[in-house]
Amino acid sequence: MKKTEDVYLVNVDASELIIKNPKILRVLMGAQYIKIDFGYIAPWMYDRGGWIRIAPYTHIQVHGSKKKYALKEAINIPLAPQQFEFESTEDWRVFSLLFESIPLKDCVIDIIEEEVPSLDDFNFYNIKLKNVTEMVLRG
Amino acid sequence: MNSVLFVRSGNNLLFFEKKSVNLSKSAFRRYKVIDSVLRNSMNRYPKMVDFMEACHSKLDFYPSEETIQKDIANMRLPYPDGFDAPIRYNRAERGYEYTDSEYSLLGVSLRQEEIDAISEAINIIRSIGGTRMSDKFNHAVEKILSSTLEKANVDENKEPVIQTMIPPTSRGFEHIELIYKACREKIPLSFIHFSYKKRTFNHILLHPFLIKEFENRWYVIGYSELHDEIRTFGLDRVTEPLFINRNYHFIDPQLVHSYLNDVFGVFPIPGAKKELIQIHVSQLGTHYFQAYPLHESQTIEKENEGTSFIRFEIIASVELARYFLSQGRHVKIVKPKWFKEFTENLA
Repeated sequence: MKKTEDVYLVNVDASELIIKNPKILRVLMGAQYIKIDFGYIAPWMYDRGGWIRIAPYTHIQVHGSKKKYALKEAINIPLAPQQFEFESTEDWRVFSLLFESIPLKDCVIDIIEEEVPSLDDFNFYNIKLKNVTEMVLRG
Repeated sequence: MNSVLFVRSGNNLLFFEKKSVNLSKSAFRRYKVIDSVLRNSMNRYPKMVDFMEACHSKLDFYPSEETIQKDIANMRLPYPDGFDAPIRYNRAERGYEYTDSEYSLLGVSLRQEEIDAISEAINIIRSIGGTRMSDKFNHAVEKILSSTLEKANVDENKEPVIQTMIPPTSRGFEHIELIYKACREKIPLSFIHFSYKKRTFNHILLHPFLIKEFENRWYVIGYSELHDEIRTFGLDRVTEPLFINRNYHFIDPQLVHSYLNDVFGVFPIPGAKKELIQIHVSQLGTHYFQAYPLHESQTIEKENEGTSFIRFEIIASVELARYFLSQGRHVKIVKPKWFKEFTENLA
């Protein structure tokens, strides 16, 4: 039986993603939240690597449902209009987004930063979450 | 003789620091007497007079009733002001008792020379380590020493007489305790890894078995599920490691032994096996290899003019190749041929 404080490491298949930067690296699901870890590499096309930020109204949608799961916390990435400026095109950053919890079962989700996205927005579609079984232990 | 103070409460062993429990030597000695009287199974409910007589018998002075009452009150105080001693007056039996039979207040004695020896060890570890690892050890030992009634003579103001290179704390070192626990207790880890060279991120599921320090850099070595082989990861490139509740992939003990003893550095060259590596070394270089052997297996065969052939039984690593390269004209790799070519390609 899944307890409310348990957190699960989820197999994530984001192979269909067109946007590879940031890359979805790890998804942790619990009864309180879903946490998605991203890795971002400062791109060469921007002077000094450019900047990153995330819109506070970014949300998750689970396929087959219209409910929006709101962003609760952003770790290591500022909420817009604040932004993190890179210093060079060699820089990199791991950041995490915590959303309201979604049902603890296999599903396909979209992460939506902008409903009508530009190439710079962090929108991700068709992320398959599988095997919500593997518990993460606390240190 | 000084005393180190431990208090056992259930399964927990608590250490009390002198700073927190500020008591005089005589008070502490009375506490030990009171504790021994309370734990005497022949007299389960000692009275005030029993404590006073025990003090008289063991400490050679007769404390007042008020003194013993104050001592008991102080012992009852919660940590860090007191010792959390569960002492109560049993009205029915008209005597005192410990309500927790597991509780005991123990005195462990250290002689001055033993304290001095520990103090010296702390100073040496400070000099050699200078990292959080040594800080942790340092803190633990100082915690014990600080609870002695006469504090150890660890002189903060004295300039050290041993100095080694002490780098600032590196990124990722904050995970060392968690990774250490994972290695020791065989717990698989999930973490995010960034490769500086390939500029790629990966989610790594690692079954770690070894933490290794090399040239002031820290690494974790284990079986990586992604790579399906043993891999080494620099702690500076590890982000947010987590314990995972899955079966641990045990590594052949022979292989672990090999990683511990047969590798110079941390990144063995893929496919490399333990084998004879032979180099030819200049006169000057020979002096240094003699003074600072590179590996336990090192043997030197000197030539008439002071140059030498030096041999190692070792698994060739990237670090070994780089080290030989850094010696310039003083070191030439003789064999094996493949390692000679590998090293030349690194240049």
